Amino acid sequence: MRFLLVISCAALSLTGLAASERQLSYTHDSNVLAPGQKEIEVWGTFRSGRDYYYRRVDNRIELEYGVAEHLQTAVYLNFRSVNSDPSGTGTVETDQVNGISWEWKWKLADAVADPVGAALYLEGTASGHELEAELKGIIDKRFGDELIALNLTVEPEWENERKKHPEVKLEATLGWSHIVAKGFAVGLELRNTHLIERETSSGGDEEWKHLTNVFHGGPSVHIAQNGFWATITVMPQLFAVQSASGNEKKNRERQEAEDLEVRALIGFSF
Amino acid sequence: MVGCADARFPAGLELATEPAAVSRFDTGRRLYLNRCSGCHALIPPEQISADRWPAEVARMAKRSVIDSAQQQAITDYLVAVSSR
Repeated sequence: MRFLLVISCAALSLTGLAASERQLSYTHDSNVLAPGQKEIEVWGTFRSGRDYYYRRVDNRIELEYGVAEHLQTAVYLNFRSVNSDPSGTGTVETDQVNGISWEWKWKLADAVADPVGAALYLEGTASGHELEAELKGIIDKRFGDELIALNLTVEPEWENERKKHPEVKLEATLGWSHIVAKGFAVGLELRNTHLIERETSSGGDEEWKHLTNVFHGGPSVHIAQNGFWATITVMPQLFAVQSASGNEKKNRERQEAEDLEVRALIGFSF
Repeated sequence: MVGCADARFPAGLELATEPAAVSRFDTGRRLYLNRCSGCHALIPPEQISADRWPAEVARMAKRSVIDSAQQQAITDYLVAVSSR
């Protein structure tokens, strides 16, 4: 964390330029950087609240670059740290995973000038023991001080020990943001995460198994000044339609998802 | 995207008839939509008066990656729309 803080402060001191602001932490809008424009984003996501002791922090440093009109690319350095006690014996295990990601985003329509803004987003991630792809469709609309955005994401993940069948995350994220004053916006985000997996049935047929289906939602706050912006969203788990943890009575998923997620983003261009 | 665009961002043909002017306005429109939206949500041209747009574009151009010719094309388009 200290490393990320130092990087953030150093980059902030260099910038005097306007940034491409993200008013929502989980929901992307359709905007892309102008050609030649560069931006650094620092992400931090905290997760907590399972059936056992569980704390997870994901940090990402992203460098975005405007390649052409309508097209931007980005590379990420990813740092994940998980402290957990799944056996409940009081012995906390620590797992650290580092990886890299490469993203492309293609803007199809503008959220102000066109009836609906739209973009396609593709991201690939490689880390020590898994490969992930993320394909996202983005639609959004800005009218006056309001922004509404919807993301639909398909995210297959291949783990080393389970190469044949990827686990697939289907995600829908809906966000609304309202600009209260210049440089200050508040909003709400709602996310549905549906985890499925291809498996072979006892009869030898392959079929999709539904693992979990969980809704998170909560408020977001966004601030911006010249060359700098920051956004934070607090997302408690609202309920689970499908649970893998046997917590159906409580309508919660506490094995594959957490009671609470908090994501903060800081961005600046240079 | 011009065909289904918001009426607040008219194409060159809606602003002029002479081919060179139409082309210039279309260039300004394309640059405005694609370059300025990289940093902020677009401001509909009519929200700012025609006489204020040149100073506004000049102020923003200092922070952007557009050259002087592109700045002029954007200014011409925004002034033309705001003057309608």
